[in-house]
Amino acid sequence: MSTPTHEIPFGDEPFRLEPVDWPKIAADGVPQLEYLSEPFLPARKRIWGVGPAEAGKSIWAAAKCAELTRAGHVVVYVSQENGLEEEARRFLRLRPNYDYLHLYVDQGLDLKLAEHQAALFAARAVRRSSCSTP
Amino acid sequence: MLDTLSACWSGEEDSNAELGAFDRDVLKPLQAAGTSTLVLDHTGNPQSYVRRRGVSAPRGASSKGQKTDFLIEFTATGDGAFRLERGKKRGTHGKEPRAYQVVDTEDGDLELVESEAAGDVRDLAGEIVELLEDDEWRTANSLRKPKKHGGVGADVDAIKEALATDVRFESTTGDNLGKRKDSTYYRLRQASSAPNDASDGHDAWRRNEKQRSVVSPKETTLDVASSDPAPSSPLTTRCLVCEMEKPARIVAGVTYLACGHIFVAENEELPF
Repeated sequence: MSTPTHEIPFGDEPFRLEPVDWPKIAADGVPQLEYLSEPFLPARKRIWGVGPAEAGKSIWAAAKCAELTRAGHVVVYVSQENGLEEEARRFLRLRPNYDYLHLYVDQGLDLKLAEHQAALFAARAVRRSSCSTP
Repeated sequence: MLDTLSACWSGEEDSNAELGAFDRDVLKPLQAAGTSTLVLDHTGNPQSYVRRRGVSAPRGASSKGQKTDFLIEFTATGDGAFRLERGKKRGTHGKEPRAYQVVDTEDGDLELVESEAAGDVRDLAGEIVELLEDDEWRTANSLRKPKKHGGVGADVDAIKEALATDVRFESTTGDNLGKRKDSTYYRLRQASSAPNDASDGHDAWRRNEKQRSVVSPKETTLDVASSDPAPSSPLTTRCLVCEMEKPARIVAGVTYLACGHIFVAENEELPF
């Protein structure tokens, strides 16, 4: 949910340890949490949204997705529960910036498979400069 | 955004080892590359880092709670309304609860109206008073819109309750205004309106308006005996609570200030 700044370290990157840069912290202060959208979507974090059915998970995520794309963030949204009819209707009414929205519906993605993981990483980096906004 | 975990991953949710692999192979590489990942998940049994409420905890292996930096809990609160709060948060404090209402806008779009969640006191009537300072008639439906669209951003039922129970507002039906007959319109109570007759018609208000006498602001005091019959609005007077000049209306011996304070006699505030 952010504009890519680094490549995915997938495969042949050599592993190395980086110690904490204390002089930098002493000079700049303790790093503060950055947000894509306060107070629930921090930058560069693993976020889990949990709740029962009909508790607003998908509509909230879609609305935030639309908001973030309008702010210039690339968002990859993988929907494999609600179906294209529901997602298309929902996203059209939420008015995202389609140039930054990568919506994948019912693609059969299985993130247990390395090939599918690589496909997700690749989707994140796709630029849809030729996308036409509905 | 992965909607949902079980639909995008065939691993065993009850297996800490498999969830650890999902975190290591998917979430961590994405995080290292500067990406935030939101995984939506259905609730099940109580887990670590989540209040022990059973149905509001992620289901499956306990490592779900351990492999997340932020955990957001969703709770349905009514028709199209739900609540979010942080169940776990590294580097922050507080649950930051928020309430959301799904709103169909007049132009066919979909919006989430956000407000402070229950537990936080909100002066909804006071917000509506500020919005209605222009004396225009509005429907509860228009008032519920987000602030950026000219509303107060709140649940329509809460707005209707505030409009019906606060004496500062009056209402009329749309046919009195040449608008939609089945709609009820609201505005700040005018000086000529009876304080407890919210159905006072617009035509009656027009007739009364012609009979008003003009009183300059400097003549307005909290001595209600000398201010009745009501002067034309808007007037300003000094609120003894806020200690500031505020727009005011005097109705049937009662002074209603825009700040929400109400006075019945000189220097005496009503106990509400």
